[in-house]
Amino acid sequence: MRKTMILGVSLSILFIVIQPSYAYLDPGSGSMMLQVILGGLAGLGVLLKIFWRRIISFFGFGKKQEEKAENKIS
Amino acid sequence: MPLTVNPEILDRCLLEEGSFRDRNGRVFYFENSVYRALSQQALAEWNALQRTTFFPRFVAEGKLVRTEQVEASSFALSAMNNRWSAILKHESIPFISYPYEWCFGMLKDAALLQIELLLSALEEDFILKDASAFNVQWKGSMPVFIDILSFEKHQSGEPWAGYRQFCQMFLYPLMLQAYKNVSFQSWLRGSIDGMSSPSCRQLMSLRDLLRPGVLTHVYLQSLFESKFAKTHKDVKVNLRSAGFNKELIKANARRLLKLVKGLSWAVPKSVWTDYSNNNSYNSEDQKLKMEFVHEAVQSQRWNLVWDLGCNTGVFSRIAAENAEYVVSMDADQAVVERFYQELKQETRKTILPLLMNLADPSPGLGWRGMERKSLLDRGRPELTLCLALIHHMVISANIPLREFVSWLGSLGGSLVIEFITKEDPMVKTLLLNKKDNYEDYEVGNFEKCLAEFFHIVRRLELMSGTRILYFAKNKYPSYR
Repeated sequence: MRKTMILGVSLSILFIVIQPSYAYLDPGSGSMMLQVILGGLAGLGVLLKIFWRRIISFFGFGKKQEEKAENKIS
Repeated sequence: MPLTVNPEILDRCLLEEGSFRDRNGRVFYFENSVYRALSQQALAEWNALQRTTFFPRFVAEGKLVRTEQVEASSFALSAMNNRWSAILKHESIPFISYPYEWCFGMLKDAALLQIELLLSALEEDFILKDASAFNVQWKGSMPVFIDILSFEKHQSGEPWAGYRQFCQMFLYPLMLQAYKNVSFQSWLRGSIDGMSSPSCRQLMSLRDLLRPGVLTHVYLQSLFESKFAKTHKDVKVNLRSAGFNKELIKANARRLLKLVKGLSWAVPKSVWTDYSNNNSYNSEDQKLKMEFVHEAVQSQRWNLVWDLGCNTGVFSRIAAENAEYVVSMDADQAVVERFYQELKQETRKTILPLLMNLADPSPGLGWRGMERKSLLDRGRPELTLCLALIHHMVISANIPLREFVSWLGSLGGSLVIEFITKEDPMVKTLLLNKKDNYEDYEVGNFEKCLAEFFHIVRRLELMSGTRILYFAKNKYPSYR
């Protein structure tokens, strides 16, 4: 039961978080993201925050803020 | 403030070839001791470490290498190129060994030590920035963490950077052996950084997904790695702003601890574990043999003894009675595992059991082939025990007799060796289904070869008439 839950949650992350255009960065990124799921209950809060931002930008809200952040980082 | 250079001393320092990845420190040797030079940053970390409670506690328990800062001025040792701000002195590890020489139990206990340290460090806002199996060494059967520069202050909000390496160097190899009953040593020797998650995933079947840890640490990690490999975003920054904290790391680490504790390898009932019951010794001969070895061992104090083909370890124990340290080697993992578990129960610190195929001993590996030393470069034995082994080397491994004896001579120490004639049932078994081309394998020739490299001090023929023991001194002794 727990395993199905974990599988479900992680597949959802992949579905929502992954966005189209990229360049190479840190190959350890996946392992870092996985730690959120492996963090158990404490990870749920973090997960929701990540989800929330993605959902919002997915629907076109708060996009300007996102672009600003991206430009800063890149 | 940088230390000044003393050129005379500088020549006598030997840099450790394997210590170059972390630019903040450098290990070197001077007059048989081990030192570590620290950069300004590393010195700050070291000072912070001293103020914790976990660090001195683990040192007191013998799980962290004893380390002290030395007065650079009184020491008169110099910094190289003005890069260094301080010098630390470490307690010496009697004999270096590598994960591809460890039995299952040893890799497992090294992994548990790594996680234990991580959890304790996190309590005081420190973290281990990597999880390399090469950071663990051994004092006999007790694991010791040696890379103190791995500790650093945990930046709030950052995930554990060592998680992936922990999986590659510890978890996947252990799973390979626990779940698939395939020995991990060859893999680790061939792939110095461990097993990648895609490789591990390929090895796991559908049924394995149900086994503890496989779905998360193998399957999901491999998936996430490939999906996130091309991400343009700084994952660390995103995680930090999303509120990632050390509780997540602790939760994961606790799960890993439980997972690793639960991994076990079913030691197969191999030929050797029955050896002590089924070999061709009668008990009188066994007693004579033990007395012979005992007498040789008691003839002087030995710094380092190698027991080649140690099997049950009975002769290693005899050697340990009068030696600082004994390294016991055998090519059969089942016996090494059993021996290790016994030594661990006894908390023995003077015998190190290693998996070693003497026909193919560990070579130099890594960068320039020097990062991980070959077996012979780690310390020559003053005494070598070579009991019930020569027939395996010559007849099974097809190594010419004279070459094997010459190799024993090149080790530089004294020798206790047992020659087993072709009349012996054990040798007859080896010759079954083989053409007997081994003309060099007979007593006269053996003694002639032995006398080329050694002075024979004592010779004893056992009652069975098929086994002869020799105690010999090296004609060309050489100690490190």
